[in-house]
Amino acid sequence: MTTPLRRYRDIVLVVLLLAVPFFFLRASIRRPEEMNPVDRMVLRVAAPIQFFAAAAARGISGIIGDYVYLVDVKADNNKLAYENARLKNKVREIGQLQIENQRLSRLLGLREAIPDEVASAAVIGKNTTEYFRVAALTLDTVGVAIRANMPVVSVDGAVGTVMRVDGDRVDVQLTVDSGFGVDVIVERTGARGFVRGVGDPGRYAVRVEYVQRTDEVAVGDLLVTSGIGCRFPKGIAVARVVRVAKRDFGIYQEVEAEPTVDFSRLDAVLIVLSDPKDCAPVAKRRPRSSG
Amino acid sequence: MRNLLLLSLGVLLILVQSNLYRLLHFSNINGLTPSLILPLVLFLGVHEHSMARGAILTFVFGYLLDLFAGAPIGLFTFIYVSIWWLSRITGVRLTTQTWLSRVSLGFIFTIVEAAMVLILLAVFGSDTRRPLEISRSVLAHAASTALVAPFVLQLAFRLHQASISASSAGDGGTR
Repeated sequence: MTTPLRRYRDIVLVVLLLAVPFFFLRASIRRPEEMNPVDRMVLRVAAPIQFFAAAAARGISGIIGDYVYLVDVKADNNKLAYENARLKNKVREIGQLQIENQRLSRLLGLREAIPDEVASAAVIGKNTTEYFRVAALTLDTVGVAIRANMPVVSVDGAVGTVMRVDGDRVDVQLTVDSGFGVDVIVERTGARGFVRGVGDPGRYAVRVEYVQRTDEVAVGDLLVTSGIGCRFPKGIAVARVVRVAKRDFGIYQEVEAEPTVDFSRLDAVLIVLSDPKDCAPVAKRRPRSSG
Repeated sequence: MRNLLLLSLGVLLILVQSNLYRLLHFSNINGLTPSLILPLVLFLGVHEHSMARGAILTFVFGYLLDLFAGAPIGLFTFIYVSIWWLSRITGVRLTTQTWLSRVSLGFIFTIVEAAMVLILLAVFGSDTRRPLEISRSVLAHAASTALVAPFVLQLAFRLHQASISASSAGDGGTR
């Protein structure tokens, strides 16, 4: 007796479980203007149930979803850390390129400012022995005739003169070497002097000789090449005065200066290819009165 | 006991299914997320003797999927109850015995599910673009569902066996 009853119950149940979602679906998909009273009633009955069920589903799904998101967090973190390091490195590279670009721009400006032909070279080593203050260069361009005594300059000023050439390698006697000398003028006042390296292994310094006692020289004054001697073009910065000692007697005053070029950071220079023989004769030093 | 086990398994599968797309985001294939609950519905249709239990559990699963999937309420409820009934009356018991047949069953019923979605949306809905989107993703969805179907069916079968054993042991103990 129970078997046919159970069968009918099951059939009714299945029909009900098919009919209920069917009418729900019909009501929920239909446009509001197409709804009939039955649809509206279904929605009205379903709305509160649906609200709570959807809220619960969202909550549970959110918890599970957050956990699933956490699965990727470590991998994402590693990826982002790697990306961050890569970008930082890139920023550093761009910064270095910018500095290099500025330096090359300045070098190009210097190149255009010098009327003579020049050859660029890179510094490959500095020999700061007690006896010689020499920098080794390698030429950027091939087939350039480099000879001894050719002036070497950088964007900051005079570097020295070519001492020895061996293929692409060029040794430069720096302005701070005791064997170096160049005629200079004080940019501010026009007072003359002769810069000579002191060869002090402990510091980069030069001495300014033959500055007359009556000439106005002050600490901070810039000394530039005078062009006399036809080695260095006129107006190249050489050193900045750091000490002036005036005596009450004698012809000259004692002046010490610091090269404008920071030799410890020097990396690119220009060799001026002028030939002293082609230089126009320069008038001898005008006589200066001592009084 | 069996009701609780099957219900828990179904809820778990729905939760996993509703979050699987986050793990499969690397793929650009539409519809790659498998339907984990469909094989369970097929199991209820094929192996569950109690019609009432099968129908009610399927109804609950369908309704939960509607909630979690954000589908129009009643869509998956109706479809899953229909699929459960279809699998029950077609007598596909034999086809769930081997892995290959389980894969085939998962694939075919996913196609049936997609066809029903298309038909229902065409009948009731006014969105003409959605059927096109569904038709594009149906093969990938069917393939991925076919791949997971043997595992879900195996899991459901184990639970089924375990619940039978537990109830037998309980009956023995009371005697």
